[in-house]
Amino acid sequence: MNIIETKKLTKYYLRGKVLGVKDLNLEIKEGEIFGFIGPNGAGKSTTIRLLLDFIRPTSGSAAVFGLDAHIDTVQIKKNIGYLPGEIFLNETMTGKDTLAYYQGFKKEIDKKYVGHLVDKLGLDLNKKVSEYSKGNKQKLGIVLAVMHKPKLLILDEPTSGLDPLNQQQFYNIIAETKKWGTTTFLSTHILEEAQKICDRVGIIKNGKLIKIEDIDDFKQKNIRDVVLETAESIPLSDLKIPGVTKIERTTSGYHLTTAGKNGPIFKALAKYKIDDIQISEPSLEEIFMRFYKND
Amino acid sequence: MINIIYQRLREQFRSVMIYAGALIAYALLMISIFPTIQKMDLQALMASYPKELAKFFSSSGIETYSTIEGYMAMEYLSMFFVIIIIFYIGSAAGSAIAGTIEKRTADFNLSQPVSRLKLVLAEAIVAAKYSALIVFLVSLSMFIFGKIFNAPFHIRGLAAFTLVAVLFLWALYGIAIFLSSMLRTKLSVVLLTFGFVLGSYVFSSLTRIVEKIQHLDKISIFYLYNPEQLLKTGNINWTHAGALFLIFALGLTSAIVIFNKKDI
Repeated sequence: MNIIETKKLTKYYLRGKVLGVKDLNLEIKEGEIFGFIGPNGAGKSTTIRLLLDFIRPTSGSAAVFGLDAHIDTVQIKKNIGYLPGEIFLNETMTGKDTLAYYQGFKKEIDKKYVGHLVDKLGLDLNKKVSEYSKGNKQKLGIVLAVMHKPKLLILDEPTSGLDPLNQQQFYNIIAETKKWGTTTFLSTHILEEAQKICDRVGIIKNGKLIKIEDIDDFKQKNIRDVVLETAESIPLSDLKIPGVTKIERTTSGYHLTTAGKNGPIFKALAKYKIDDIQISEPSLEEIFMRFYKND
Repeated sequence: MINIIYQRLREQFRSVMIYAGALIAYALLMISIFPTIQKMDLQALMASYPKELAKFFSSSGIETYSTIEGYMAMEYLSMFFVIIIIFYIGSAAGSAIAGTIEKRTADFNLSQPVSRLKLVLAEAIVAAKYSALIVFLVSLSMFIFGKIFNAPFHIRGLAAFTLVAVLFLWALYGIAIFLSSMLRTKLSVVLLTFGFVLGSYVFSSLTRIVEKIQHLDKISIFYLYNPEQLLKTGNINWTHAGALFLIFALGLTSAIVIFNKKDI
């Protein structure tokens, strides 16, 4: 059984003027971690809001656990954990009260596991939510999302407020949930995040699903921006190697966009005096331009 | 649902006590000066004013001041009491839907296994309970202060007033929660509810002094709430009471239907 299944799911806002998502067909299998990748405004959050019945589709259908996302929303949510990129909770409550309040919606809570999560994230539950930093609010959100060991986790850019250390803790918690069979639907615009934890990824752009790929195929692309600083003039023929998709001359050297393994490039550059090399991940927009413009 | 009700009761308790405290303090002030008011030659005083002025505030004119019931109805319960409590009603209703969407707390609440119907109902139960408590405390304090200052109220009148006042506040909550399902901010709900109450009161008063619009008095919600008549006679007009409950039920039902269809 598919945990999430959408058929031609379409959402327009402002009486058809603004497109959220169009003809979205998704099938998320049990136990997988599915990354939903796209730039801001691509339709990731719209999809999540449709699955959670915050908004209603213009056309098409969405099912979770084989149940209708709108009609059976209460039943569905018994087995869902949700974490948005920025969580908004009642600021007057303490962390402890907030936990108790949301535990009131669940049937069974493993208090020991909740304690383990709180300790792992180093969360002070005696403080009021209003006193929490953005990161601590997000940590509280993580506990609230997984405390009932849900069958499905829906995470909307969940690590946006977390520092690298806590991001890693978060990835560990997701890996832990996978062990007991939880399916995760993760929206993100950070490629590295998707590559780190996902089994499959769906690429969404301008409200349309462009492609679904296995993470290994996706990783193969290894799209990178390579900035070379050199005083030497390198002939273009030496830079036109398989994997280099873009070459630009800059004031201090060259700017390359590469895909796949970078070994052949380093080999080609070995005979030149390179002052510095910076390798980074290009923006999603740029990646889409390179790889998915024809999809 | 129980956890929502319990949490909201906890959250609102302090502000409800402040509202109740302020209203009781004002009731004490008004009742304590009633013996002095009685000694004044009000007939002579009012004779110097246009007769419409007295009519604007009460249909029975200056005679109203001769009894504690009439005096409190005119000076306190008709308007001041409603104006103060409407801020609680508007604020509670505004927070229930528009406020949660505005503050974006609705997202996480709606990700829980609870229907939108139960979320709104829980809020309404809390507001209904607390508005009833405020009215009860005010009525009780009026009864006690009346005894202390030798201006006792008829218990039957106070009981009738308490019941109708509760229904009146529930009706106003019905209107406010309906507005909350339509509007985007809590403040706009509070202001619009306040504007509606004030406008209704002014219109109701105008129907007493402008002959041309006298027949339109039923349009105002204040037609259904007459504290002077309730306190003096102790008789409840059950048609009016039913109409107030109907406004509450209709407002709440409409709010639930609209909220259910709303994109958050």
